[in-house]
Amino acid sequence: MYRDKSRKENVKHKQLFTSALTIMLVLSLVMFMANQPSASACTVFLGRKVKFDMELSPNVPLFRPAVDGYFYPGSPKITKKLEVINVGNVPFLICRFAVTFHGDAYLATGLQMEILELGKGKGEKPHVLYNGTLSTLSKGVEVNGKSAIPEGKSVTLQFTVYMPETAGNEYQGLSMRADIAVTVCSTAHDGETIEN
Amino acid sequence: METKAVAAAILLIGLVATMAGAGLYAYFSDTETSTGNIFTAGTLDLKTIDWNELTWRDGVTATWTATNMKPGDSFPFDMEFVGLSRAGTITPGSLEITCNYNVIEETPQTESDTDPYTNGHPDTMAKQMIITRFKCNGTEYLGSIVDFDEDGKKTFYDLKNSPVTGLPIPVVTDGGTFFRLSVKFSEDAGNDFQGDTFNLTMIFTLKQ
Repeated sequence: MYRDKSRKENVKHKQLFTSALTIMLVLSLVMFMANQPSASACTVFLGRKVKFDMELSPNVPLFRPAVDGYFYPGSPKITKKLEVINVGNVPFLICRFAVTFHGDAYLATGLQMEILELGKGKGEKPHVLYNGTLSTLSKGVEVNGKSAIPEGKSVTLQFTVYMPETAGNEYQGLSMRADIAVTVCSTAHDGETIEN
Repeated sequence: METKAVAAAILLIGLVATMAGAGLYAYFSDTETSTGNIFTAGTLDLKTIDWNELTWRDGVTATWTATNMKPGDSFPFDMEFVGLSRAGTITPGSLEITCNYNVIEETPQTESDTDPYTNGHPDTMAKQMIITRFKCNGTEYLGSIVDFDEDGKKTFYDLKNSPVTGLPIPVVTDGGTFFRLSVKFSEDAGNDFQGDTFNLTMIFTLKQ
């Protein structure tokens, strides 16, 4: 009689445990989906409305041969600045660059690009985010932004492009269009909890 | 009652664990793009004409022709010239002139040709082909050819091994820089070259 009761209780506990486990699994899945990276958007996170959004300025092409001239081996370096503005309410870091090429994409193998995150004020040295061939950026490159950019603040990126003296005639007359994508990530992307 | 308490406890623990886990994995990202950036490499393009091909083109042929040369013969080539002009988007820094050559042996071989294999070592004939005029737009640059083999003569062998650099940059198409050449077949050339043809290619290079 006592054994019978004990067995019934055991079965009940097992059923409860399975139900709880299922609920936990479903909840975990929901939370995981909610925290996947999304494009410029407002996201409801743990019941709070978070606006994670940035803008680039100026909103015009940076590099134009009519203004900058043409590239040739050893030609002067062309430097442009791009401001990344936090128009949301979550601090972020520069975390990735990717470039899409149209036209004579081979030209990208003969061009070098350096991307700096400029410091604030005179004392702060620029931080090198990327230095290498332009073509490598087609795959996308993860970078480590130096400063967290808070709400309403901005950081200036400096892009320098040049053709090394060692480049040869194979690049003569080539022309391409490049779309430069800048990605920012929340400061918590490396495992910290977002502080709102 | 006891069962209900156990269930509530498990649920609570599960909820807290889920939230903590979610917090640890949380991150957002946003991507914006700077579009329409144009990168263009410039061009250096040299165009040529000569006295018998009077339209600008990429290379001319048979500008200077001398037949039946014998040792001591001079060829002033008063009428012959090569015109140079530039197209392209980059302003060049200098013009360089050099040459290349080969020797064609006659067929059938002349009995008196004491070297039937000059085509295998064309430098020997190039050393007997003396340059006596090397003018760009009326200015003599013969002195700019280095006597590479120090034999006291300025020959096509010297020009091949020591290109003349720093020559005036040709103006844009339809203006032009004119290059003139005079040649002498050395008195020292012996029977080794009888019947042989010296095939000369003059090379003009624009440099940035």
